[in-house]
Amino acid sequence: MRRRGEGSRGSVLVWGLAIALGAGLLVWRVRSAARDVRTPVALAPVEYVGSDACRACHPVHEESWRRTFHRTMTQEATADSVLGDFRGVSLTVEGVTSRFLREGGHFLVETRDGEGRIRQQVVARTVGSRRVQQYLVREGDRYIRLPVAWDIEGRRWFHLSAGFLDPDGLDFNAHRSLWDGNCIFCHNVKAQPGYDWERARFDSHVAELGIACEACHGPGAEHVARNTSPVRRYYLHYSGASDLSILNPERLDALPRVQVCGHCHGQRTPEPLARIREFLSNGDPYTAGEDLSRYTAPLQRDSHLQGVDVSLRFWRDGTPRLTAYEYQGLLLSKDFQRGGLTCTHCHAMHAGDPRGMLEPEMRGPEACRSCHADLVARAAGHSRHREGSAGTDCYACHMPKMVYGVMTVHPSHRIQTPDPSRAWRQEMPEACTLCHTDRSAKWAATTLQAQRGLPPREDLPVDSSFDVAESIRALLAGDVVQRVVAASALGDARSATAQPLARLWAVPFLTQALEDDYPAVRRVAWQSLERLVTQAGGVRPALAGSSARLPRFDFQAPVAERAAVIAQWREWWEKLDPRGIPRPDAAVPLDDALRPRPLIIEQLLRRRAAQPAIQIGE
Amino acid sequence: MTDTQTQLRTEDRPRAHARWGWTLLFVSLTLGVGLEAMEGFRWAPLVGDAWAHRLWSLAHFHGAALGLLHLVYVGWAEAPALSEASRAWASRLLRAGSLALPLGFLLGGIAHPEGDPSLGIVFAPVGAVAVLVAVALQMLGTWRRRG
Repeated sequence: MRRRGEGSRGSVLVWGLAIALGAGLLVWRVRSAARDVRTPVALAPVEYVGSDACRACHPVHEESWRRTFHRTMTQEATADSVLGDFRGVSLTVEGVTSRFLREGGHFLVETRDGEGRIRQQVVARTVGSRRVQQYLVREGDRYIRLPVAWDIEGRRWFHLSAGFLDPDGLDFNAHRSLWDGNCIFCHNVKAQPGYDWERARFDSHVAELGIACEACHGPGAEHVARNTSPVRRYYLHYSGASDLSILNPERLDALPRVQVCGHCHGQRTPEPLARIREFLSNGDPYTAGEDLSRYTAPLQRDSHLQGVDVSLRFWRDGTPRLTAYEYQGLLLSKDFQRGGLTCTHCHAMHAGDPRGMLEPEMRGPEACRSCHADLVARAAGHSRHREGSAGTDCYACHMPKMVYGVMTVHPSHRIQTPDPSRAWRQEMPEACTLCHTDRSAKWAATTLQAQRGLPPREDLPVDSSFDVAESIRALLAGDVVQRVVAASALGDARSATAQPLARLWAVPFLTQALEDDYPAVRRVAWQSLERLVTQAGGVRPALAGSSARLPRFDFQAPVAERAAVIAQWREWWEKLDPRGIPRPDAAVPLDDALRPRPLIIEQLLRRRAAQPAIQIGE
Repeated sequence: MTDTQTQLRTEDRPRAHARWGWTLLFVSLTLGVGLEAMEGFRWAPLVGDAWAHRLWSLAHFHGAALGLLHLVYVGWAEAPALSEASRAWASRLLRAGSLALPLGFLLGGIAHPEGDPSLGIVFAPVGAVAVLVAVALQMLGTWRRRG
């Protein structure tokens, strides 16, 4: 019995020692993990590992990123990634017929090459996956973006001149461009064109095709290596400490935080410009979390870029009017300057609808509530619009749709107070008349003053064109961006008039816009026209029946073909029984039979013709 | 401990393992049926969470397998090749391990952080070691000469 007792005491001692040793080791490991976690890691020199390395520990985030169009921004051309119709279809634009073919696993485009010959080239990569998919072919040391692309929503091929803002008659290959020295920077993670200036050759590499984890979180090699330790991981899980071996943009101050997005969503130039050589050789030096202004300066209206009129990309007050300038828009907003508003206040990278990267509630006034709870609570009084109407939506007045890009008109990211006088002071669209499309800018300015209890404006324009409904003035007399914005507004779901028949008055003006010499304007005008007629057909079936027999409009068809379609639509409108179609405000130049007043139309078109032609190939 | 008490414990051991075995099997199979039902009805917290799915499946599988091991052990609980002390250790370790291992997986799948089981998972390796030692003791006994 004595021996058994001794043995029992011995084993207790052994177990006790083992447990004490284990506990001591654990405490030591936890303390060293805590020290390690608190030690900042300089991310710039760290290697990139790719999103596959993130999946094991961040399956939920990886999966939510996988749903986004960020992931599919640039892809190798495969049966999964290629969205275009390659079943031998063709597209003829500017006298050049392009054909799209498939041979086994290869996708071929037969089109005019850089030397003017028609030849077949194998698609190597795709760019884009939401609205437009562009195609890259390999030529020697470089990738070339083809000038023909696939319209994903319209399910058709088109020439990029209709996606950008180019007039008809442009050289077919004007948009046949180099990828390695341009698109590569924003559509991939850590682009390195590897340009050899002596041999004039590219040797481009990217950390990962598309916009992947490390574009926003920085390079991950150190983070992955350190977190192989379960003790470190569990310390992070349960202590709530930040892991400084990787970047979490949510923990950055407002400016560096918006710069993470602004790196791509804000066109920029190397700073100083001569640094472009370094960019082309070694790549963009910026790493997420750094101060972007150390390397680049955002393009502004007054920026100088050799051979490019940068001012065309902005409204005259400096507000961006193209997409990929959202960063500049936000920087100009008081909400950012005074309130520290950042992109991720509204946009979610790992949640919500991948289209726009917004959670459903962020598509309405809820987006503004966290900072402007009192205004959102009394939105009707604040906006002087009927409760629940489109006019009480914060976006409608403060972020109006006046930015063109990727074949669509988008909300401005410069958050502003509506001011109708911008129409005559800056020749730019403004919120009131983008919804009240049958009203003039003068009406909007006068009404707003009266609503605010202020005396009438003294700077109302004497120019009679401002007596015309602003949407019609801009559609017919504005520059190309004004026209495309007006064409979009006339058919936009957000409108002061919900009744479909009450919006039908815009049809003859949109028909006029189908004659525009910019295919982008024609395309948007046709979309609006089709939408208005379809909606009106819903409440007046006879109208739906007669319009359904008319030919569809192809914005890139030859002139004669387009003219024939336009003539049929005009004839249809003239024969339409106007009874029951509500008349718009008198600012819309229509006669009693709802036909455009030719004199006013002529005047507006003459104003447009007097403007210099512009091209915004971006 | 008196000889009578030792005798009683010895006689109770096979019965105890039979109880453990059948109970573990019942609990684990119930968990398995529950998991299958949740999968069948696409219960989002399970099917949408790969870690919980994997860990609870492991809990179900290990519980059932260890239940069977207990039932097999009933026939070996009094193996004469092992000393009474070793038999007692093997029995205790098997019982502790077969409780801790599935429990660790079960708890690990509850409220776990992204990419890792929750802290309850620590029971799983402790249980695994306990079962392993019990099995090792039995294995050594089978290699030893009787008497």
